[in-house]
Amino acid sequence: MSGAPRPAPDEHPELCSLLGAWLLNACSAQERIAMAAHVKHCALCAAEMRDLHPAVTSLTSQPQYEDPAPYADLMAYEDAAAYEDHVSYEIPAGYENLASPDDGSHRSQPLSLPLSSASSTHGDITALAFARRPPAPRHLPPHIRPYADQVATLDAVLRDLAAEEWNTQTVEGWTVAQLVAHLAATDSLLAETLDATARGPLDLPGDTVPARTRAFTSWAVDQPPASVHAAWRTQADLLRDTLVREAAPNTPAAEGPYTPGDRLGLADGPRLTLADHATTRAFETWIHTRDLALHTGRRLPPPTARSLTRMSDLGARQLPFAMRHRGTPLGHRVLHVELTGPGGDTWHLTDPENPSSERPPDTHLVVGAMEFCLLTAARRTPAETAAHTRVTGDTALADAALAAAPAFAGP
Amino acid sequence: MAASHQARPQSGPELTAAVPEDRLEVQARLLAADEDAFREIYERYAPQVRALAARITRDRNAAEDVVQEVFARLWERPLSYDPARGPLRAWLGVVAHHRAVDWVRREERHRRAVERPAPPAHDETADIVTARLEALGVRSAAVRLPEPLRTPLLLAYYGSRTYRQVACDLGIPEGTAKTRLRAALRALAAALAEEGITP
Repeated sequence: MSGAPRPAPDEHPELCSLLGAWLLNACSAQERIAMAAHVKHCALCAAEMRDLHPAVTSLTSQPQYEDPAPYADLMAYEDAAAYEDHVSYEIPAGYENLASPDDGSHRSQPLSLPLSSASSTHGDITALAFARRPPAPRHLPPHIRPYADQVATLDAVLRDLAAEEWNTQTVEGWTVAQLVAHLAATDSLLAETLDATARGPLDLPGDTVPARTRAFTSWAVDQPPASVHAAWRTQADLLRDTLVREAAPNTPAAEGPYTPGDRLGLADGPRLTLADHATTRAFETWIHTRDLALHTGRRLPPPTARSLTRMSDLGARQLPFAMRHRGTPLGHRVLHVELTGPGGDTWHLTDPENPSSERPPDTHLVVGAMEFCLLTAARRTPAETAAHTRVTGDTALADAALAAAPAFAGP
Repeated sequence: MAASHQARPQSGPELTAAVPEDRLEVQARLLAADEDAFREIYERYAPQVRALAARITRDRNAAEDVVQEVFARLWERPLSYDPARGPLRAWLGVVAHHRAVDWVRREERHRRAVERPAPPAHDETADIVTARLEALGVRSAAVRLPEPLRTPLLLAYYGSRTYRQVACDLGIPEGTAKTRLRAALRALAAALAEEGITP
């Protein structure tokens, strides 16, 4: 209670009686504003609002809307035009009477909407929506789709922010603007590594992720939010286009081992394919979008299932390398990892130096794909994830695997 | 790259596991600016949004504008839909209802301003809506509410009337209109809970 603005002492009895009218959008504009403010600090009214909400939505989603003749209402208007002088409210056999005879102004309008299909107005619908927010490219290689998904998602969250929220502190001591600039920094480095001519909108120095990040985050400090947003988005689209170009059928690197120079490699990590690099960018973009949502009080759904599939696969395949990196290699042991839920699968993991171990798994580990991805990004501690993990077999091996999973997490 | 040693928040911004996966995936795909997802949602829900908007505005063009606006808003701001509060269908209905009611009120102000004939007495609207729902064979919980609660509710919801107008239509004090609207929603919520219906 202490932090919230306190309601006026006599406000509740007056306003609580308005709750029904307010939920039905049946009060004045001033009352609407007063109620919206009131329910934010009145626990009683907030609880009642939650209880009554299903009743309101039931009115909008009554079963008749699910019937196979969704244009019944519009047919009623068409029919109503024939009842120009119809003054009684008798109900004929059909639905005709919904449109009550009134001043006639409505009936004078021709009803030209085709009743057989929604598609005739469909073009208009997408035109209005897409003018406000462009759609992602429709056809992308499947290993690039997750990056495009997460870029569009961050873009949607950034559009939702008020200007002052760009100064909100997030992770690593960065503001929202600096966090977005950090993403652009890494994106620019990868794009240039893939194609030296792929220069982004900012020509800033730095040959490593930390150095490039310092340049970008310093730049972002005194920039207006719109500039940071636009620079990141332009850079992201450039990287996407570069990835698509590199993945063209006549370039050999699409799914094979790919080493775009040391500066993006992970110490002790596996060699990453081009597809893996695209996945790491999707992964990091998602994780920082999530950071941003967390610090600005927004709730996000998990990434698209097709994104989680790629991210959890990369995280699982990197696990044996992460364990070597942490000094707890698998050796001759075999680890079964089963990730559940959207984006899940099962992996039979062995040490990179003993790739063909035929023995049965020493440990079987079952955890949600989303939970596992958060662990590999160091957004969960191993202990937190362990609480949601089912282990059979060698529990010490499971603990070592969970402890090593975040080994390659960076800023 | 070393792991950050910064303290991490205990819980994330994820919607809880209690929210159905399909709702979350729909929102994730809208956030991802997935054109195919938008088209699927439009094909699936536009008819009912149009029907609701048409019922309230009683104007085809206005209803079409409401449909456009509702879907454009969903596309532009996918975060304004909260999957934890209900299915997308219900969100679309609520937004469409608000837009349609706003249109009706603007029209009424405009009509008064140019001294056109007054709209029909809206106390008849409730009877019409009730009768229509019954004609459709809908055993809706709203239709089965006792008359003193049902009429104000249907007037407010389908007739776009404010509680003051409801009071005027029915010749009851404003305070009574407010109380009945709230009581009607309570009764409806209780009836829905009893039937095990969640919207």
